[in-house]
Amino acid sequence: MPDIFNLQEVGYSYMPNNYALTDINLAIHEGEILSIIGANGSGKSTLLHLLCGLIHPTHGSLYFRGDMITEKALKNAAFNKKFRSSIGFIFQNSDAQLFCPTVMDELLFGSFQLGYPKENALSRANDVADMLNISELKDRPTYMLSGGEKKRVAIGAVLTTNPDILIFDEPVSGLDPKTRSFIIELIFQLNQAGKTIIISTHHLELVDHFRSRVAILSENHTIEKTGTCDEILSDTDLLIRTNLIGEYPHKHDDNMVHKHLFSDFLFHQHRH
Amino acid sequence: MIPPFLLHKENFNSENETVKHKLSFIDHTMKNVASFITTSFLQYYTSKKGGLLQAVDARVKVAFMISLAVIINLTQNIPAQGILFLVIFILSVSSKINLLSIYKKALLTGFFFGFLVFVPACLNLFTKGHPIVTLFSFSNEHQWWIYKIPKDIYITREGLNLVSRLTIKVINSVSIVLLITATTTFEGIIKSLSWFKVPGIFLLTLTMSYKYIFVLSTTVEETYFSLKMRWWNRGSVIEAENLIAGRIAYLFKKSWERYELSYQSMIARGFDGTFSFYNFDRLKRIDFAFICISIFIISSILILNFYYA
Repeated sequence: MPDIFNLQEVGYSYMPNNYALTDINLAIHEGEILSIIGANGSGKSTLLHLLCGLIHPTHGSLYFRGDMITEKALKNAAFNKKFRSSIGFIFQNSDAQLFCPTVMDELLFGSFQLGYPKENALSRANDVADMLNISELKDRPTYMLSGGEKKRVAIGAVLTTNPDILIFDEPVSGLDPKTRSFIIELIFQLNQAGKTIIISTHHLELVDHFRSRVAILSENHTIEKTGTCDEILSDTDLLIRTNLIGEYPHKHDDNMVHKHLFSDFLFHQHRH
Repeated sequence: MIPPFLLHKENFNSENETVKHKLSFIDHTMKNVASFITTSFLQYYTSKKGGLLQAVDARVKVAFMISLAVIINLTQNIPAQGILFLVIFILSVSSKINLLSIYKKALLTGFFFGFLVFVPACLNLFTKGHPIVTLFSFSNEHQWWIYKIPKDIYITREGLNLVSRLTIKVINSVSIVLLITATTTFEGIIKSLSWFKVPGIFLLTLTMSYKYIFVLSTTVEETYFSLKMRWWNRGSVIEAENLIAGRIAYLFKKSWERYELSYQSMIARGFDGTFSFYNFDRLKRIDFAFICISIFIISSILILNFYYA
């Protein structure tokens, strides 16, 4: 599979000598699902912002389908359109992502940006609304939606432009089980439809659900390891080292409280 | 079920796309709002650097800043203002502060709010005195209403002296405030003000406003990113303005919700209208040394001011 993104020695610092990311070498292939996992503050969101060209590397190079992504390159209207229309970014905070007055305006925004005729744009918006079960919400203002509804609208707003690459920042965080299940199924379907999916998460069960390739970020803001789902999830030391699993206090029926390694789904491993 | 259009790759041509980026005005505005986060982080990091002023207690620094601001405004001669400028410069260097960040702001403020505002005062129309350069010469004197326009209009030495003094006063006042805020955390400044008996409720409001601006800036930055991801050169400026207006309304609503939540959280924790901050540690040797040096500098400047007056 050809590379969509290629990152070579990429680093990013918000402040001098205070790196959010450092020495990132990563290739992302066409059509795959890649999970970027790491503890809070490891640089997952920064990495996604770099991939979307929202911020630019302070060192190293980032290539999109062979073209280097720089602030200057994105000032070129033709390249900017080619790049932006290929990538759909679903933010963790749906509130910040939704900026149009109503749900329907959100769904139409991207298609109008691309210059599609009104009928085509409306047809896309209605199809996507049906797929995401938000048809009833079309006339609602976005601030009147629940968290799960906002997430669906945020995904729909991106899907109407049919981007090749979908980037999800913590796609199931803070959602109820039904919405989580819906979104996981949707991501599968979109991948099967040929979309490249990039997900950032610290939920290991999500990685296990997708059985995806995994890039694991350490607390030193660099990629600790890339590998298959099994290679990463079976490496307990790696998961402890990168703060993705840890010890938690645990109470037994006999009132004995002790600590042991715990993960939501991987294992329930006692070390007495 | 996946709609059919999502199963095909888009085939639009962007080669001829030459429409000018209509987001430039939003770019600048939102970038500037969002830069508050960077500035706040930067201020936090500079206040933690191992420099001279960073080692001094926040109360001493705030007292020094207030005293210096008073002295700057009392001092009426240029040599004394020059010494104050030098003192602030030395303190900035010894505190490892980025000089450009301080002096760029101070000099710009000095130029706009000092020099440009007061520059007419260097003419003999407003300040009588010894001529330096003649700018215009009329054939006769003119009387217009209550104003008398002399035959020659020139820059006076006294006027130039006055403008220079006022400009340097503005530069010194701004640079000392910037220096102290760059070397003291926001929390340190608030606690110091509380130590100086500024009412707690006022400081609490100030603290909450600061935190709120921080949260608001994060939302603005995320919105800006979201807009940037989905705006591909099409759409009119009016559309963009409508979007921004919508976001402002949204932020207002969010502000209101946050205000309600914060107040409820305060009530839930027993808030009764009074507020006090956790006390400071005792002053250290370096603080006393700094106080002595400050008193020496301030006294010297006052003596110099008296001597030149």
